[in-house]
Amino acid sequence: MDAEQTDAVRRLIAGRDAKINLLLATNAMLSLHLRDARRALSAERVLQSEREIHAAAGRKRSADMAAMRRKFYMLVLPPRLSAIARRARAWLRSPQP
Amino acid sequence: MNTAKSADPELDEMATPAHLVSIVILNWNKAELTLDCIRLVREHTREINYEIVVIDNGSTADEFDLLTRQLPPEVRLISLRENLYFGEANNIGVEAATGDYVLFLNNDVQVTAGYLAPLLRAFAENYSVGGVGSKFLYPDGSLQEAGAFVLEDGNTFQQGKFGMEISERFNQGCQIVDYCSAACLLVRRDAFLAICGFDPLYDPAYFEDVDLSFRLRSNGLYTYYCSKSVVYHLENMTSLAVWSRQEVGAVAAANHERFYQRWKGYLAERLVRDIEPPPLREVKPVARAIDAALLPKLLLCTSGRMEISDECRDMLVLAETLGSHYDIEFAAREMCSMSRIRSLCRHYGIGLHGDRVHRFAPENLNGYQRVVLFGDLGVDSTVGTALHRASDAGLVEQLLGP
Repeated sequence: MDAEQTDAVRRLIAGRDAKINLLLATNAMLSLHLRDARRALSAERVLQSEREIHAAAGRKRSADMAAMRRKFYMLVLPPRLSAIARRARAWLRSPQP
Repeated sequence: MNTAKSADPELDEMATPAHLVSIVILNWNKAELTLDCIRLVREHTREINYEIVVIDNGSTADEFDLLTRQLPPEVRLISLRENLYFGEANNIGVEAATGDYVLFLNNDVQVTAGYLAPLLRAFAENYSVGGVGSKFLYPDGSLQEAGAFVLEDGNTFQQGKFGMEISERFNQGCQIVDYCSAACLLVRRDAFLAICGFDPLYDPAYFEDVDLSFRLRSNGLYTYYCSKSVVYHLENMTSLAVWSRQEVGAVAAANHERFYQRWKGYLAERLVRDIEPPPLREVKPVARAIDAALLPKLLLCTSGRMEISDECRDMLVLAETLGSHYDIEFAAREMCSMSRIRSLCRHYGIGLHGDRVHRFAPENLNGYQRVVLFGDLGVDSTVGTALHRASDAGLVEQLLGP
């Protein structure tokens, strides 16, 4: 091979090398983006779970408050008022027209 | 500067009587950072004949004073009166440099032991090398850049940044990449000047180094990343002192668009065809029939900057038109590189006659047969005031512009 042919071959190899490097680097960058996307997705899932936990806690708090309110009425209200309340509840439980 | 014989015979063979490597460092209001950068360069540049050229890009008086007081005596300092930004200041540095190779080094880069020899060796050991860049690390040791690449849409990415896993290939020797950041990039001085240096299209900043690598490649020269040369890079220390993060983003976005418009055809096709970037339009200098020394001298002056503007285009068109009748010189408010003039000529498709350029000096108005001024004569303009005075004295025959 003369110098011109050698140079042409070396240029061809360099061009192929450049293309391989570009593809490898682009692939690495896409992998990074994919990893970030996965992390973002799992972070969103965690966030969603937290929201659900908070909502459940909220529901439990409401239930607790209702129970306490019931206890308050049972224990603190004077017996006369309790009797009125009993009658009222009984009236509520009775079949409505 | 250090002129000792190298332990590496290949480097000795490359040595020239002048400097082998010129290290060009820009400074803008970061004297302490620059001095620290120079200290590390002097500490870690062994057995290679080199010089340091510092370009002060119009720092404040206090910062400039701090720099000059502590600058080692062998360092060459070029002082600009205003900030000409990254590309043009480096062009001026390269034209003033004497080395066969030029290392562009940001002042927020901290070099490590043995950073330079592998970059130089890469020129001898690889095929058709135009530039070689280092491996950049963050100060915490994490990878910042192992070569950089350009996507089809013109967006760039630094390989290894943000914890990106890189192929083992990039940890061994040198690899061809799309570009390397010019924060630490070694180029052949003649190849850099042959392609007119950094392009004024990208003023004030960003994408100059990407475009430089593409133009080198369109001239048959590849940019390599060298894994054995390691430097630490603080990143954006000067640009964030000039602009906010949003402004940096806006400047980079504008230059991304310019870059994309220039190279989009190549970027779209290079993965499906074996092609290289097409050469940009070059307008060759026009040969004169007569020796320039025999021609009357004409000075074309602008009170502004040499930049992509109607004013500068008109000036270059006039230079092309009158070039065979006059020996033409250009003068601007601030120093200007010939690379910049040639880039502007390329931009406007103008062929000059081998003209010269210098910073405007009012005392040097004698000796010109004609002086033509372009641009606005502000009352504070040194150029304007001096030319008005010269005009009154009958030196300036013609004044153009508003």
